[in-house]
Amino acid sequence: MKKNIALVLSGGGARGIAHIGVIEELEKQGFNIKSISGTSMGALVGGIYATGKMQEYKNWMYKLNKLEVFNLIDFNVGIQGLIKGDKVFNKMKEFIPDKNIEDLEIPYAAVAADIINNKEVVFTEGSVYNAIRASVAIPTVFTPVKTDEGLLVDGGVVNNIPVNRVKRTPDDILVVVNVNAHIPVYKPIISEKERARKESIYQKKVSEFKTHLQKINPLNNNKKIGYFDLINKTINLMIYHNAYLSFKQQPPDIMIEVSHNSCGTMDFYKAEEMVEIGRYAAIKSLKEYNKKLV
Amino acid sequence: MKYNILLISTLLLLLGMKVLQAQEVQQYQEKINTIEIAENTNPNYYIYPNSSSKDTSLLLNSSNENTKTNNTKKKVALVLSGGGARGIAHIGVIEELEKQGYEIVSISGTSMGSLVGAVYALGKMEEFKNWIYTMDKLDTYKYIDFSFSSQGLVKGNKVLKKMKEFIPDRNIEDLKINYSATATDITNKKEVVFTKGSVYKAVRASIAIPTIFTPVKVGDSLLVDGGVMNPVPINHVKRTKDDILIVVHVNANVPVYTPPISSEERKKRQLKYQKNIDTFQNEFNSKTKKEKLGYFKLINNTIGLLTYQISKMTIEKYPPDILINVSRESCDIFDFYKAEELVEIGRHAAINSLKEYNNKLD
Repeated sequence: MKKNIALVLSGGGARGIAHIGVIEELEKQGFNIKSISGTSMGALVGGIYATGKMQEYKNWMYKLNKLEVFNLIDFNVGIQGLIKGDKVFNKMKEFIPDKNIEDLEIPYAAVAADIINNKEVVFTEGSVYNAIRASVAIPTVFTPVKTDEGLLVDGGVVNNIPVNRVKRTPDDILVVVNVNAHIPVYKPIISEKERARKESIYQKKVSEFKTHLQKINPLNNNKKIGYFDLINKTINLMIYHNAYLSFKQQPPDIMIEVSHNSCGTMDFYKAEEMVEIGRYAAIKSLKEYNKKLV
Repeated sequence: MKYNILLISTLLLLLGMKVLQAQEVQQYQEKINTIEIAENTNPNYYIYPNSSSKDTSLLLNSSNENTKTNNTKKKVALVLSGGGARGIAHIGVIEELEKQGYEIVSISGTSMGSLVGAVYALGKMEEFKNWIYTMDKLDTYKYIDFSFSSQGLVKGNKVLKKMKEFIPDRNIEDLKINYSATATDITNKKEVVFTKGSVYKAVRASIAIPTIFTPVKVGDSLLVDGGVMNPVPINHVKRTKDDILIVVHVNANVPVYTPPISSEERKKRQLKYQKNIDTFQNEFNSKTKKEKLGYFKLINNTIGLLTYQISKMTIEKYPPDILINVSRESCDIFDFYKAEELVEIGRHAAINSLKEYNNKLD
């Protein structure tokens, strides 16, 4: 029975944490991930997995709920709201050392978008962190990455589900994980008390965060809307719609889908829930796949 | 002693300036954080997609009164893409189509395409064209404000208000041709297609480009520029039997065409425009403005690239009989001062595409 996998991980902000649950389930069911391609958060999780440090990353993400998330966010003075990202990545480098892509155990590719030259940029060598930093540079969250020729932002702008960038090997299974899927949310059961507790910690952080960013109340309460909220929503919708339109060709061997509505793009506090949602989605799709084989 | 007083007073002055500057920046930041939303009651649109929606392009309606025409004229279903100032090229295209004996019986437009389509359907394209030409001589900033502030975005409404003075509003269902304008419901992530009610209300929603015009609130939905999901609304144009489907795409990845306009005239316009840009840039301290403009360019480029990709996929999915391409390098989104040039660019593109089409027919 075929067990080798070529894995494609889509972008999707905090929803990309679901990729961790998917990978854990794939390994648990005895599959071998032989190559990876990813965009944005998919590039991050995929890259970290390829360096062999996904467990460390997951544990760190879980602990983050209790820490002052704030301390990791270094705002770019001048351009409002854009994060330089140095603090987060420097922190991560402490327990997930950088590596060159060509030295990883498996082939890996990360996708970014050059918005000066209007083209896709694919990282297949050099520092993994450089690749990830360019791939996650969401235009309303992270500062873009300057290169000699252009300006790199979130790969989702050109290729949010980089099926055409994953290295294939004979007899491998193509597995695509889309965390922006147009499906209803499937949530695993979490105790109400636990959820309420997490919710209140979150609310406090959110209001601190929002005060600092000078964002205002959601639009349905008000006749006003934050300018940056609007740009954010616009770009997210376009990335999502682009991927939806372009992903029409041959279906992959296994399609694992997580709903676009599972959580907000910045809801990193929901890490535990998203991992479980990913795991659940993988179990479901693998069951279907196994049925088809019989 | 005198020296100390001088030093202290200089320091106080500098401090005072810093405080003022900080205040100014603070006020500025407060302004740009909130924008007023226009309110639209009684909208007349259908939502796409929904369980029962069909692409109107698939509906043939040969018994429709509106499409009874002179037999010798070739009937056209015209799709006009969004594209900011580049949309002015649509005017040149329409003029050429009419000149060559085509009859436009239905239009679907997004953003600037919906605006030009509307003034044509209202029978006032000539007036509109002349008005835009005079805008070269006016201070463009009266209508389109670059300053990011809430006021700047709201000022966009002044354009439509001014237009209503010489192009009165009408209901879409009373127009002589089939017309639809496409907007995006960014709250529910759906397209909305206006097919009834006030033309201006439809255009106002369709043209609500997120960095230029404020969004339009309808109930719980927030409507913005149709180009966010459907910049080339081929699937929303009403088709009739034996018509020719023509798509005008003003974001195309094709080489720029530079029409022969006297270089002296162009230089004059460029100087005036440059002067306006410099005035705007001098409003803020150099660091803030350079980075804000950098941020603005970043967002615009990102959205531009995304729009282009959706356009490309749409045209591949619904290939038209005639595709008229205008280069996305023709001008920037705000370059309304280039109106005459853009009309010529549109005309030129139409002439070429129609020549190709006729050659194929022979």
